[in-house]
Amino acid sequence: FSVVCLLAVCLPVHANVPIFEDVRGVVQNSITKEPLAGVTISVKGALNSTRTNSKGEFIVRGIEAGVVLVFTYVGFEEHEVKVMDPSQPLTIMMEVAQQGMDNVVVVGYGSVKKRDLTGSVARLSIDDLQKAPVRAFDEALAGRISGVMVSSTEGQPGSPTTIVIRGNNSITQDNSPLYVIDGFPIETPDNNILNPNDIESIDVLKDASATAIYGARGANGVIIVTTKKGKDGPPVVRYNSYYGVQKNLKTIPVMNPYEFVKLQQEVPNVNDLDATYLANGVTLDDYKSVSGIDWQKRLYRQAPMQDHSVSVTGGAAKTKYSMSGEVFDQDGIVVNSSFKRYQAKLSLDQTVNDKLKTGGYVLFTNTKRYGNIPSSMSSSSMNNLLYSTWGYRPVSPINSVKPFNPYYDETLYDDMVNPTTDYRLNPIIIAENEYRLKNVNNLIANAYVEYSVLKNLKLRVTGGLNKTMQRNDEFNNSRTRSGNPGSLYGMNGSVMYNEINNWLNENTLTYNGFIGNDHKINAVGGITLQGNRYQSYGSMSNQLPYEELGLAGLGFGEPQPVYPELAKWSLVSGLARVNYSFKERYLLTVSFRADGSSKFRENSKWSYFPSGAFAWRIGAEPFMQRLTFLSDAKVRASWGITGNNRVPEYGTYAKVDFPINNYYSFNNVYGQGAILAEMANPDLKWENTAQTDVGLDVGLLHHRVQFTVDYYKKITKNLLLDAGLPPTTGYPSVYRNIGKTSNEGIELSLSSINIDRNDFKWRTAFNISFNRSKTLALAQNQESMTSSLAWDQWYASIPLYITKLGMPLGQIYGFIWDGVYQYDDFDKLANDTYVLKDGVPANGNARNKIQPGDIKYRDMNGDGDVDDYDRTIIGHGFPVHIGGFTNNFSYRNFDLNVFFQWSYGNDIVNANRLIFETGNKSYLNQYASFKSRWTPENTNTTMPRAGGQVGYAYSTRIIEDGSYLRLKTVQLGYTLPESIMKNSKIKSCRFYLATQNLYTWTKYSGNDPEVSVGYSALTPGFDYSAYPRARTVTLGVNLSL
Amino acid sequence: CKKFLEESPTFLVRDNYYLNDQEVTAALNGVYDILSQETMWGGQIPIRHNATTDESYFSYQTFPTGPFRNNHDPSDTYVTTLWRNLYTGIERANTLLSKIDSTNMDDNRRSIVKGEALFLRGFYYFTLVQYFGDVPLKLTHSESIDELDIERTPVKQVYEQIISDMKEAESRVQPAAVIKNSGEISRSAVRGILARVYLTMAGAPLHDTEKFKDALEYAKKIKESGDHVLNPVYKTIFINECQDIEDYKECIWEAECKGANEDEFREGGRIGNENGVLCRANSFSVVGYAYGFNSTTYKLFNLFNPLDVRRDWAISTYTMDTAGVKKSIAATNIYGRNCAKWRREYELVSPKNKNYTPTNFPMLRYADVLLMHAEAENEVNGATPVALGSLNLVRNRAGLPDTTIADQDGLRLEIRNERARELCFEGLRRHDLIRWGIYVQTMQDAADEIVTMKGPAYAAINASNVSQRHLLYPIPQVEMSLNKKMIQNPYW
Repeated sequence: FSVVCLLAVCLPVHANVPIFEDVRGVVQNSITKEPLAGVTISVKGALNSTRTNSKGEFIVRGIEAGVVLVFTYVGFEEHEVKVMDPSQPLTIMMEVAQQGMDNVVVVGYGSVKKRDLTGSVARLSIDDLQKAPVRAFDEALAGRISGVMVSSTEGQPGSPTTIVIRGNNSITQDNSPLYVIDGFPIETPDNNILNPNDIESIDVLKDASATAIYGARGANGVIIVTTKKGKDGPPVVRYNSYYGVQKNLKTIPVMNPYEFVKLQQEVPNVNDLDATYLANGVTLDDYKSVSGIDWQKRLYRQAPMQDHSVSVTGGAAKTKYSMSGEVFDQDGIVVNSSFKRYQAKLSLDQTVNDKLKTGGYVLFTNTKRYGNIPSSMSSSSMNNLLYSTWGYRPVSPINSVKPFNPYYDETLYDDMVNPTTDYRLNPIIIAENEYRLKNVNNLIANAYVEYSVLKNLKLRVTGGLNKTMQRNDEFNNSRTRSGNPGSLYGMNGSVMYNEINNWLNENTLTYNGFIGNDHKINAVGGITLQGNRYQSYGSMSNQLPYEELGLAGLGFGEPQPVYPELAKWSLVSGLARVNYSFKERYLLTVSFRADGSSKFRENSKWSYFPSGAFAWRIGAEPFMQRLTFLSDAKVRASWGITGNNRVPEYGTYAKVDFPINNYYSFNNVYGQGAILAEMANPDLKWENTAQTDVGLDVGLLHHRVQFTVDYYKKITKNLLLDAGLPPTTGYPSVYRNIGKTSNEGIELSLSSINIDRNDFKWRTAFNISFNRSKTLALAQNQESMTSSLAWDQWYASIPLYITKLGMPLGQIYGFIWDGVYQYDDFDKLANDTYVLKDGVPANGNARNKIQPGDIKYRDMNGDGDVDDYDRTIIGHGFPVHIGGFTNNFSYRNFDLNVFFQWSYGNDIVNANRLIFETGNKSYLNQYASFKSRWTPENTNTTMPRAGGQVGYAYSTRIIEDGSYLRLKTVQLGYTLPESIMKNSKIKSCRFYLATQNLYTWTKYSGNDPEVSVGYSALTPGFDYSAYPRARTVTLGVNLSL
Repeated sequence: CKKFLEESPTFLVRDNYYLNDQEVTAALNGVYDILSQETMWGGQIPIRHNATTDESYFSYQTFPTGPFRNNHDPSDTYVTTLWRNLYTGIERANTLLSKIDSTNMDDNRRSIVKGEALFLRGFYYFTLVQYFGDVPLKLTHSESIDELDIERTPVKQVYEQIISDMKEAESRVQPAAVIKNSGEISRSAVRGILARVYLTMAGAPLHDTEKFKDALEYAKKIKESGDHVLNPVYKTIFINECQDIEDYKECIWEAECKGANEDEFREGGRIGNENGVLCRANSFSVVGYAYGFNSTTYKLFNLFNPLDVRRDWAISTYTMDTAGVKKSIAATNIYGRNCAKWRREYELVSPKNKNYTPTNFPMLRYADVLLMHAEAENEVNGATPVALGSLNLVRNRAGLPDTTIADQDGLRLEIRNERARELCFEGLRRHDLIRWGIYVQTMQDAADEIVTMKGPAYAAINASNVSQRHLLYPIPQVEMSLNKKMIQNPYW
């Protein structure tokens, strides 16, 4: 985009070539046959250029036969044509760019041709990404770019995804990359605010040479998103729309009525079966003919999803504009969950005169996400929606002695359980009644002025605002988990607001020029200022008396304290970068950034981030020209230091706080209690990551095969760690620059044009990345650190992950499961009881309580019992490699995109099985897999007996291989032939059928292997009550007028 | 540019706090706050840490590990939390003490606040040495994050500091008759705890028997102050605690809880809920929900003379069904009887919270002072009328006649039994047994008793797990791994 402008502004030079003839023609997209407006046409070797109009037509005046015309257009391959006969009109088919060496990529504070790039920057194939019918780009990002790991929490519409570039540097802090949306650096963006179809390009900066220009915030990589802007030419109206349905990929088989009742005979503590399921002569076999309720079938639905967007773009020579609007509406596959987005955007660019250009844009988005999050962790695993769904009884007793509610599927409580000890409630009723709304209004407004100080020197001043207003509504009426009449706090609700105001001012000077013919210099320098203000407030009440008033009645209940928060940070930066190339073969980039942050104090406020890179376009050397198969080859090497400042705004101060549970009453009068919440670390400073990258870019067979390989090694020092403190200090932890990690990896991407005929084309793109992290230092004296997840009160303090010096992050920690105790592990006493033989280790339970069929863990230290000291590493939360594989086919007017994505070598903690393959709770249904449990009649099994999984422990029993290969996106399109369109006002029209998550190959037994509930760098790959993922099938149309 | 990068915190900062009376008072409340936490005396100290003794057992099978099962290890949550909370309280006290001299406030008030903070710091250290033995003695607040390693101080030295802190507190805090409530630290509270400290020093592990004299002196000071008398009705002590009535004459010091976590604060505790009479009533907001974690042993039940009014108050005679209706327990069923000292039916807060109660917990009762007085007198001077006099005051209130035991050994045993009868479920027994040097043997006997009397098998295991190493808790793993100078307790 900016290169096109640059040409337009800087090169209006008179031609002194003899005038011969004008050449005319039209430029089209080679696949869609859509005319391309705004394509720059220049005469090779001369300085004059022109552009295509809105119909894709152009005239180049006064050229002689034999000259070469060069067609350039962002997102398309550069195209050269030698004009043999200027009188003949030309039809130019421009190819969509496929990571070619000549593409322009956006880097920080500028753009550069991929050919001239010295760092590791990957441009996403945005056309491929847009083939996926998804809500936001991050949902389709996994597997598209090497080195970028995308973990999606679960399948809920609007649920967050975590993006990590080249491994986690930080142990306890945020590892998400810096996002730069249209030049605006945003640390915590909501990707849902962007319509994927409105994105012009996504570039990912990976190595330090590329990211160091973002200095203090570049250590986690940078994702640069550029949205679509106006283009020269008469108005083009585009209408894109699709409608589709989503369906749950998989449900977990649970026991049918017969199996359920059979199980109850074995569940400990069920001692009233003869008054319930087996009363009055009813036998087990009677339940064989009862059909029972399939709760999953009732909870999941086939849900519609639709998207409609309209845009008008156009412009005259000096004014370019773009207006767009979008409505996106997605219902979730779980009842009462949905996501909606309304978006409007206006952008305007105005050339005032030869020297001055100005512009700006405004993007407003409203998103609404409805519905409870089934995986959200609370004190009890019984609070999660799928606990009630899988566990609710499938059938009521036939003819029981005790009276039971025959309409149990229509009432809230399960009258067969004590509601004060088991929080099982009718899953459908709670899903329907729990009101949750996350309503986000986001405004991005940017403006710029660009002034050509000299011919080659340009000043650019930008100012912008990113404002987010988020409101979270929660209402729990009398038919919900927390608001039902038997609950702790009665009907309750809350309305919470938080606002983020982030402003930015950037001032840069860019020089572009040659010294002599061989020395090309591009230099940029600047000063930027950024500020952020976060505020939260709201109100909350319990014991609401008027259900019908909903949240409007909040004032009538018992108000609960809400502590408003306010936090501000500011950042001042100076930056400079020089790109130098000699003979277009030897490329050098040096960059430097100084960042000052309000988060740190006096001497630590400023930090400096240098980087350097060198590239040698060996393929352009004369001695390589003999190798005709080689179109281009470049070796790159870079090194640099980047930072991370993801600590709270005031982490260097010792806070005095007044929490509501730290008051004290004297003679029943509350006295405010002041407590020391945090220990101060005034010396806190930036975290630094030094990264070395070595890469090779090769183009073969006239760029038909392109391939890039990178090796990198990152070492993060002074790691900002929420470091544990010895409790004798009186504090749990403090932010310190103490940890150290390393990440090392290899990335490979390959793209090729396999078949390139006029009517049939086939291209593929493939990428694979390997990353291995290593913990080099933790808090002082600390050799390992365990992490647990609070998904259930009994498991909340049991270590599940371990971070050990010299080992990768995210290692799963627990016991090795050795099946079950069998009869021959026991001595049978005269009174028919079984006593564990001497020498057979216990499983953590008292020896005399262990019975045949109980779970067996490996006694690692051989002390005869299983305890803390027998835990070991039992899995790896992060994959060995990840990748993606894209195929694009076009045949005449048909086009087909097929995209596979995979993750290999990561394990998943399937915690669902701790609850649903255990059979220790009365009348709680279990997974059908629990049919294989140990019983006296079925001893040849490894599945423990009902109630035989004693205590609370993680073991290899529930660690599963989370590797998967997914046929993620398939899109089949058909463009109406030009012959039909000729006489209509429609320029082009394409219909397509798109599917997402079509098929998955995996051994994982849970709903979906793409799961990461409670994700952090320390706790990857955990699954409990995750929202299932949907398969989406949509029908869409792309229309342009 | 420099100014642009200055962002003042939007919260209060330690170095700008402690400026006036109000701020210092809030900081002092923060030191007190530790006492009533549900992980401390507001719940877990009596209910879990002291649940498995010869007078009570932990009657809940679901919790797999913990000190109540005596299968805890250095990473045990209860052990770690206890350690952490006590040092957190010490840090709050140390910070307050380091700042208070420059606070702009009335000097009398300053002295009182100082006294209370010193006492609480001493009390937290007393709790630490009892549970952990040698502990790092830290008398200044944490400042530098670079000097975190701190070594253990021998028990004896820690006690010296405790005595010094408490004696200074004694001279600063106000008399009970001025304070007239049980929440604030009074001179009587300081003296009573000093008596307890001295008695403990006189027993295991220090065996500094000279300290019996100090214990005697301090118990006598309270007796002679005339500020305290026994509440004539035993059960009223506990009903008062459920109803937030503070009878400072009997209850010299209480850990105060308030509300049911339904108002805008979270100051409810678990007393009467976890250690109440098992009641899983659906209508718990009226009846009061209770888990029945603590139950009597055969020994405790039978220590009581049937005429003793305390037995059927401290130990339940009924169970409660899901409708909240009381059902009598068969006379033969001893182990099925829960602790019933604090009964939720007496709570005045409405609606009742399922899990949280406003009930205060007795940290020091006058009855305890009398029994300590009797014990110290007996150890120093033998079974004198003075010793018998104090003991008999406690007995008479329970409806029992005077005892006339005349030999020292006989009286020693009687006082030990009297402590069980009077103070059962009040979190004192474990450390009494330890200081008497009979903990391990008593717990083995307790285990045998449960087996013999056909009590719950798991309860016998919990008791029989006790060995020499259980005289102290292990140093928590988190401290071991982060503090290079820390060494683990023997046998752990």
